[in-house]
Amino acid sequence: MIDDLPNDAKSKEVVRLWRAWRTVHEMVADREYELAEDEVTISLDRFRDEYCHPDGTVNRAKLQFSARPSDSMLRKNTPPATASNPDPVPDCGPIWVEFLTDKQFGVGQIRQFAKYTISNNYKTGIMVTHVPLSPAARKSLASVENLAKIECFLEDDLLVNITHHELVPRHVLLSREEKIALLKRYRLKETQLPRILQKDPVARYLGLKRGQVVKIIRVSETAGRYASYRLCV
Amino acid sequence: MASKPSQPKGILKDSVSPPNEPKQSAREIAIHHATLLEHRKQLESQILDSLILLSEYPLVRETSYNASNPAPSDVSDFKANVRLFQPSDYDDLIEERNVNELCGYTLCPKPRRQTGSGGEWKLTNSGEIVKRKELEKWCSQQCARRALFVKVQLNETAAWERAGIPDIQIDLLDEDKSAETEADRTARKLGELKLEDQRQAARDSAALAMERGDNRIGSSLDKVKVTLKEKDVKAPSEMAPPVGADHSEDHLVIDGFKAKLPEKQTGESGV
Repeated sequence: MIDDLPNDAKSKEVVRLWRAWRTVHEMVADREYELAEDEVTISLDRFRDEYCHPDGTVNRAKLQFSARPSDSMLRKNTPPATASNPDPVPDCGPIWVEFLTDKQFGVGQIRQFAKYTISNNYKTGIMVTHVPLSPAARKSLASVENLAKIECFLEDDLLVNITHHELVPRHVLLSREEKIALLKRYRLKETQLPRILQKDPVARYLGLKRGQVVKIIRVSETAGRYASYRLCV
Repeated sequence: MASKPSQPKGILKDSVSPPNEPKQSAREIAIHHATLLEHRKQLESQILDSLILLSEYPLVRETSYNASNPAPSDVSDFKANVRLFQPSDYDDLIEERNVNELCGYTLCPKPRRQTGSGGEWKLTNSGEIVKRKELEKWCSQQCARRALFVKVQLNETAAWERAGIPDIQIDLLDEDKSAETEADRTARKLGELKLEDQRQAARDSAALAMERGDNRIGSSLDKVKVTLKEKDVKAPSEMAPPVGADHSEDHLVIDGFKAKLPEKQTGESGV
């Protein structure tokens, strides 16, 4: 598909953005937000029609979308009801995704994005940039963590969907009940589980929070399938 | 064993008292470490705050002040805020200032140098080939020297290991103390005095802590951020004579004030 394009810088840029756009959508869909099928599998031609200026450059200001969590995701993220809290609210909410155009990222840009995300009642914000953040900006992300979770991805990292690689096993996020059942079944404490870092590429892809458990299903020659569990730290 | 022959010793481990004790101490250890971590986090956020603050400096942007002759208030703020930095934090500060399109040196009000289009490497006037990124960090070579002069004075040890030591003093390159005015000198002296006060306070609290025998770290530090703000003292407003009061005692008023004589008179009449 890519071979029959005119081989100039403009269309390369379009293809890059199209691939990042698709990966972001796949990521949001894999986290079980509500997205239509045709939004996720957008073709290059349609992408060009919808998001390009007439002269062939991408209109980056249009590259933004939001999604609501699906019912199954809400169920997964609701803490179990207790006596003191009989009607728990799910700790996930709508997500906001934006491709940012700035040439440099400092604390100012981060604050602006965080303010937009928080003031519009999004629980998660994903910013896709084409330059890395400044170190101070990365540190300042932690300060707004309890209001909204701001995640930052480089455009270059989203060109391919890493979870589709054959060496990456399937990661499934466990709900709270499943986690409790797992710990009970194996008589474990949380800390006795193997761990996965929060900055692990797949953990970042799934947006894991501290304390969540993923089930990792590998293909095994002897056993067919082998499942292991990891606690996000 | 010989002293207590009446009590046979059980083969089971005593399950009541010993597990209790380690549990208690384990809890204390955990709390101790948690306090340490909390202290570190506080310091880190404090450093980040000063970094963000300094990335907008200088605050005083008048034409009479420049990088070689900065405003004394900015200098004292810069010195106070940069004290806890590690060299890596200082690098972050330079980068953050560059994002704000400012020269990397904190007290320089000029924008950073733009070398136009071109490749990754640049040829300087002196014939050296340097990375373009290095060149664009500063507005001039002097500013680079000034900034690096500060950087080499910063300490590699982590902030929480030296937060209690207020003996860190940062000097600026080409700080000319001969040409300063009286006000500048006072500002500088005041800053030094403040630093000296902090040192004395730290010494005193350390001595007191040793006397008491407690070794809590950072409990006295950084709990509350105290900022002293001088209150502007104004002369009391001119006492205006009561306006619109009753004019019945006008005949007693001298220069707008009433003499207190009548009180004494009533006392005499009572006797």
